[in-house]
Amino acid sequence: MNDKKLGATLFSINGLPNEPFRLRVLRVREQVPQDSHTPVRLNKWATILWKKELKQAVVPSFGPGYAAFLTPDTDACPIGQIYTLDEDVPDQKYSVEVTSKTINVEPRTASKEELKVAAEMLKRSISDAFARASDQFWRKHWNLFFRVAPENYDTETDEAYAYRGMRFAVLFIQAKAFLAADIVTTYRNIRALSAYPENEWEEKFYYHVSSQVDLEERDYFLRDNGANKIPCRFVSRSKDTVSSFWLTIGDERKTVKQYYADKYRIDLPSADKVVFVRDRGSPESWPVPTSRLFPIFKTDSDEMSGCSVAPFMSPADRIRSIQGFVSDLGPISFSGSRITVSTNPYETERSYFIAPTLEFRDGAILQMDESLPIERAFSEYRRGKLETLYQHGTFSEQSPADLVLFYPDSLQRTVRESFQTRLNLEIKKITESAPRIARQIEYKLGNQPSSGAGLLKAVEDFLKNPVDKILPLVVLAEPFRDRVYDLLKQRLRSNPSQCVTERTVKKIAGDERAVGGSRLRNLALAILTAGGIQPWVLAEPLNYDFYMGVDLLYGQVIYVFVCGKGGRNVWVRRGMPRKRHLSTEKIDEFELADRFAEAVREAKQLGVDVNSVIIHRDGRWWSNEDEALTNAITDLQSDDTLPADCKVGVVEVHKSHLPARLFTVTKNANLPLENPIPGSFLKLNSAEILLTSTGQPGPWDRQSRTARTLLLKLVRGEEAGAIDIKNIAQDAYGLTHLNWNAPEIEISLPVTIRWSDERLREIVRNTGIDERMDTEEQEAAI
Amino acid sequence: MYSYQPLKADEVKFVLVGLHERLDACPRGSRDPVFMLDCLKERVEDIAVLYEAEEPAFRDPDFGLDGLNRLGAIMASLALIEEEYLPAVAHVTDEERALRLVFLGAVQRLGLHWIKDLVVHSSGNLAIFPKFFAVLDIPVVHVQANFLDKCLCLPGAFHEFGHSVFLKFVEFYNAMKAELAAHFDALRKAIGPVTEEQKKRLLEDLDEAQAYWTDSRLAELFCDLFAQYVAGCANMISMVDLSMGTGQPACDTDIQGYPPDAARVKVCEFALTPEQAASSEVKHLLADWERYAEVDRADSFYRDVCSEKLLRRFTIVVLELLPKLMPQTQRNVSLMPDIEAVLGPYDSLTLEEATQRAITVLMKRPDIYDSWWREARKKLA
Amino acid sequence: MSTLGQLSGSIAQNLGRVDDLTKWLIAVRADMLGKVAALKLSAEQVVEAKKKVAEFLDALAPVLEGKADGDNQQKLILKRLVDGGRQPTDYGSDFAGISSAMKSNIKLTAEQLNKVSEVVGYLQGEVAGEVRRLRSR
Repeated sequence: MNDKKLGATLFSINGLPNEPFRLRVLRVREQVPQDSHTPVRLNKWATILWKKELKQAVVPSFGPGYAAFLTPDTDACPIGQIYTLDEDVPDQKYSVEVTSKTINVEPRTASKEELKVAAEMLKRSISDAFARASDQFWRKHWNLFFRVAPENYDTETDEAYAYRGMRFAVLFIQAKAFLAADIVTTYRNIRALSAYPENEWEEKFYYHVSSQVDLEERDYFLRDNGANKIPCRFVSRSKDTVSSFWLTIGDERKTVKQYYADKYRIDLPSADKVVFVRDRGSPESWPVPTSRLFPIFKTDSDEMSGCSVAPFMSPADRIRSIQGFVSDLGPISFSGSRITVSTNPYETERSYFIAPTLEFRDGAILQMDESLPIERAFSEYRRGKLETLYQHGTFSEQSPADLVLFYPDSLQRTVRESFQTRLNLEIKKITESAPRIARQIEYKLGNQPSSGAGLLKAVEDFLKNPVDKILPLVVLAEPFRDRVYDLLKQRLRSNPSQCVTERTVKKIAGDERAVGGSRLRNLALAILTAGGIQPWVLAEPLNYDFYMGVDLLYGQVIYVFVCGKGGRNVWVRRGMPRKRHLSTEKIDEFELADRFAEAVREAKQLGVDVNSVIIHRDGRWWSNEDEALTNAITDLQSDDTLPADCKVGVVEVHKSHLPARLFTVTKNANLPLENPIPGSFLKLNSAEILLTSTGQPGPWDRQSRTARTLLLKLVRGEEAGAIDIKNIAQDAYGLTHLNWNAPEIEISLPVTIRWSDERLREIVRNTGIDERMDTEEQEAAI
Repeated sequence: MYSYQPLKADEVKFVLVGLHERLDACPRGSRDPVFMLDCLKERVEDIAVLYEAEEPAFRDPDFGLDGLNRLGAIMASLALIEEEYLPAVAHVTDEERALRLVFLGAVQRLGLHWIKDLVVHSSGNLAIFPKFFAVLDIPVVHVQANFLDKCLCLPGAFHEFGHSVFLKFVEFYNAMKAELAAHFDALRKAIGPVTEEQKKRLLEDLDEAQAYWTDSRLAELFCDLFAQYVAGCANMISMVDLSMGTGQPACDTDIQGYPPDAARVKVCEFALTPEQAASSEVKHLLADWERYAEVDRADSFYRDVCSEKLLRRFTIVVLELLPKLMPQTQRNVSLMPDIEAVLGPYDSLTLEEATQRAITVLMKRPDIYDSWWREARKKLA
Repeated sequence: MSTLGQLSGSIAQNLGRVDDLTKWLIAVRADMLGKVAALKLSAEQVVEAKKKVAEFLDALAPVLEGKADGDNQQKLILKRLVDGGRQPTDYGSDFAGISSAMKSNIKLTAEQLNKVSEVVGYLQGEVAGEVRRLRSR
């Protein structure tokens, strides 16, 4: 362990002036009730002030007898300004006044909230520096800028241009400010929308333009006006051209053609069609020329498959690229001083968790051989999962669920029969009994094969006469768009299911050696787990007794409960569709509390001793959810279901978060940076930890990939050291090893939040995880 | 090494022999179903011949499922004799013998000439097994052990004979099916201006209602009409008893294989002559039944499947066809007999006469019913 | 009163059909195995059996392929196939092929004949069930 170091894509920020962070105090003028709900209420108000009024960071600050907020001391909050808050509390308005009081944040002694504001201030400066260099970078979000020139600008074969971008944030580690940075890649079609006949738009760019897709769900276009590039979403067509559509800009009237000539110095063809789009974050629709509108693609689009610029990068390439961005950034001003960002990444002592011991049928176990070098030990452990599984069998002993097979009419009968035979053989190898295919339902592809209408209808018809304990196994036809899967999941809502692509079915059917191969094996495991069979469990107890995962999938809330030795008792409940509020995701807090209480009682009935409870929340934990949890715990304690001294923790599990990756620093000149061993972690502070649960040092380095990280953030339970973030991370890492559906690779999420990775289980394609490229940002803009 | 098929084949061989011997051992007196016994023996012998010819296939594993299926078919044929006929013919009581003769007389008078022999088996519910393989010649008539004590059930025998008639003449089935189709087609065409979705739902409802009338239910309705045709008012009273006696809801559409009781009573009512309908016995009992049945409160599904219009269609078509297909069968158009006529002297009673008289005495002179019936049943012809 | 009346009619019809089908299949199987003489069957009987089985399959295939409604026995076969997780259209197309082979006097494989035996087995099982139901009425 001591030969190598742990590295992270964190770069120190230097040159900060004395007293760099001056915060303005905002005071609540009225008396705020002081009770257990006060923190919840103030957090809510802080969000309202941040998002609606000040448009800059606002955090609550309160103590006995007072309630206040802190925000950067800028022109956005003039002294004396009063903001009225009339939400949340019935028949009562509160007013928040910008006082003349400021405080200077000293990172060494600052509170979490104060550091948060300080970080946002630094981040803003960096954003401004990027924005000033508009000849080099274009903005997708305030914390994500792309190079103006694509990496493959001189391509003659690629169908899409690839743009490298840097996503960044600022954090403090032991009072020192760091820039967290990561490289993302976005791809836009080389040809503009105008290059395609209008009657082909829907077929070619269904998820970009179709009225069947909700506006908020549509894929993005890029308005590429040279240096000025703006991501936007298609709203509607128009009958006009750029020459016939008139705009009113101030007092002037211009055609779109004139506007573009004046503003962007772009000479548009006169017959260029106009369509309406909405720019990022804007509620208004704008008329834009189709010749400047380019579809943005995701990594699994067909257009991407042959692109010469891959979205993956090795750790070394990633660092080099970030260094390039930092160098090209130019001067960064902050609080009257010039600050710099180091190009040397953060390094520290290597830290990682040992992979957990696993238990299979009849007590057979698999554990890491700690006498070996860690990389080798882990590699053998990973291989051992399957060997042990096939040798000893699954931990759960119930028989597999009956299946109903949905398949497209394009699938040849011989392929289907061969696939069924091989699948049965594979499952029988694992569980000693093959599943029964109770029904086979053919669906038509029809005139628009990509839409999946035939499949959706077949599923709807099937669901009219629901059959208990039956698992739909759906062959997704090759022409299907990604969205068909989402629509299918909505139809199947409360029913577990398993999907497999037609391509995979054909490969399995056509491969004489398919039985025992990874593709078929993963599908077999996926079917077993979808039907409730646990191939293995953790042999050792977790650090905490009871886990509840709260996750959102296809508009439905999923609650996953894990308890018992090594988390071997796992069950799932589904909840009501989420509510949308201020464009963010929220859950019905009363339902959350009810589910929690029911599950704790169920755990007690299973004989589990519950002295500590941890909530894993995918995404942000909201104040109303916290309040509901408090009430539920109070109830459970009142009847001794939970002890009075029960430890309670809430952990936000962020997949998209700080743009920081971990890696291992070696002494190998040929490979100075390599992928981190899964289980590697970096503790940022007492409440936050970065964890890598995926990756394969060696193979991934050769494939130019870097493992992603999870950010685990303890948002409740930190007080008085009740919950240790390192123990949380260790449990979370252990729970990622219930990676039944692709045992030869690691999955990124603990089983409590695995449903967001359901796609991984549910659509069995090939082994290996594709690096996800730039996806929709969820962070608030400042 | 042991194998199932040869094992079973050997047992079947033994069963064939045993069955032959048991049939041989059955009594063959003047009141016994000798013709039936001969038919059964002949059948067993035919099966034995087939068995012998095909025996190599049962013992050869190469014939696989075919051998097993064939053996199964033979066993099913034997089972028919074992389950249905053997219990009836092997141990016949005096009362069963007597009833056999009564029923034989009745079926001949009613025009069921194809019935050459029958056996009565006091096994429980009133029922008939009319078709033995492809023939209607030798039905088994099941009765309750105390059938002759329940005069209100006597017309039920005619209902059972109706099954043989229904199987004999496919025209009845075809005509009822045609009426059914015509009725619902008319309803479909009559759907007014509604939304597409509503129309779809209405059509689905009509399809479901039409599908309700399975072959079994049509058969049962026919048999009620046949019994009504031959037994008149007595049958009407018997149907009221059928409905009210069990206590089950009259409009219950969930009875497997049967229409709702209310529909059965209704078709019999529609088959009454105007005079019969106006007779006080029938009128009062039907009024009692109407109060009990509460047909007005039936659910919409009952109303869809058992609309009066449809029931009348069934009635009319059966009443039209019966005289054509069974010209010898007399329709009972009489009223319930006078009590004086009933109590008058007689040498013998047909089943049809006994039915009318017994119910009349029970209705009008229950005080003497016991002694009267004890005498009368001795004189059943 | 019971539904024995209708049941007897159904039994009579189904038993007769199953009786014939199983007899014919024995003959066809014997022909396939070269054991016609062992069962003392004549060539005419074999020809007749093939013809009848082909007719049975010709009537059944469209029902399994969803092109015709079918009678009760054909519907029973369809239901049993579906309930057993088999794809009826597969059987339908196979039966069309088998019927064609029989008519052209092409030798069938055991696997082909087994499929026919399988569905006849459903009918045999059903009529055996009907007879059993006599006991439990």
